[in-house]
Amino acid sequence: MLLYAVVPADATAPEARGLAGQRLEMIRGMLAAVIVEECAERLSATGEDARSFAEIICDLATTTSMLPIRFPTMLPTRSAVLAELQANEAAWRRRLTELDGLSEVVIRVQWAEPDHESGPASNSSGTTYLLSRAAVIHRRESSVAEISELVRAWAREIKVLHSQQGVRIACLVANTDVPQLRDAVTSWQQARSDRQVAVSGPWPVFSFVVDQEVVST
Amino acid sequence: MSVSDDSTSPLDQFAENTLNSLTGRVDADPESVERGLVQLVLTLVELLRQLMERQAVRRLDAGAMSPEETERVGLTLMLLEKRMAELRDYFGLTPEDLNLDLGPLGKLL
Repeated sequence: MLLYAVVPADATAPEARGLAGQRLEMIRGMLAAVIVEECAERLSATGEDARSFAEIICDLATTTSMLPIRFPTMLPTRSAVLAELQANEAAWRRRLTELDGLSEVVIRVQWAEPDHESGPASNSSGTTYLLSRAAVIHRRESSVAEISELVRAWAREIKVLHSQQGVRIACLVANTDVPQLRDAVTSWQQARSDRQVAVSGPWPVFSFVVDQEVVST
Repeated sequence: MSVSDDSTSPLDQFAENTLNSLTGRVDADPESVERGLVQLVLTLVELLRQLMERQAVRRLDAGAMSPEETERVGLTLMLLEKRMAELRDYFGLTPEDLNLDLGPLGKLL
């Protein structure tokens, strides 16, 4: 069974097919349900599959609050899914309630000079290299601090995402606040001509499935 | 410079993260286990390199390094980064390959 998402126990069953071409099904517990697809063989899990999976998640998220499940999570039988559901449904239900009506918005900041231009090839001395690396670290840290402050009025949670270049920050925002957050980022950007800022979303809460307090313990 | 819709959406990032987490596993296939182990070892070296760099920058910010020490530490870190790039190229790895997905804790690097 390929697992897609945890949804409220009373959510409507989806009218869609999954990656393996089978109809998506619901396995329901008392407090939560899991959307699954019968999938006999282990998936090869290509990038294309992962993207298709994420698109299915986005479609499902238009009809119900959900906790997307990491791809490709598979369990051998329906009873194994049910056992996992019963073991975790109280915590999942709690998180579903916390995330109800919220979406993820991602803000990405990049500079005209990419981070890798401060690498060894562009420096002639150790001091120059270290100073350029310090500048990259400082601008990343200051951008995270600035954006965190900027979105504080709307973002319930903030998470700095992995990024090889620049900074990517995910914000957990009420659906009704997304336009205001976008406007605030636009105004912030206009005073900073040295960097490019991109905003995407609203998305399902891919980055906020696990409560940050749980992560930090 | 502008604020715009992000062409690299979380969908692409989701796909990329999935691939990274899959390639980030040590490959137990006997024919490619060496590459998997090299990837793991280089990931740990990269972690240490980044920690050393952060520590050096903290000391630089605090004014705790003399000009000679700054040059020496900077040169060491510069050569280490260069050597890491050479090793990555030798084993056919990209910078994105040198990472570990720690599940709910996020990425190692």
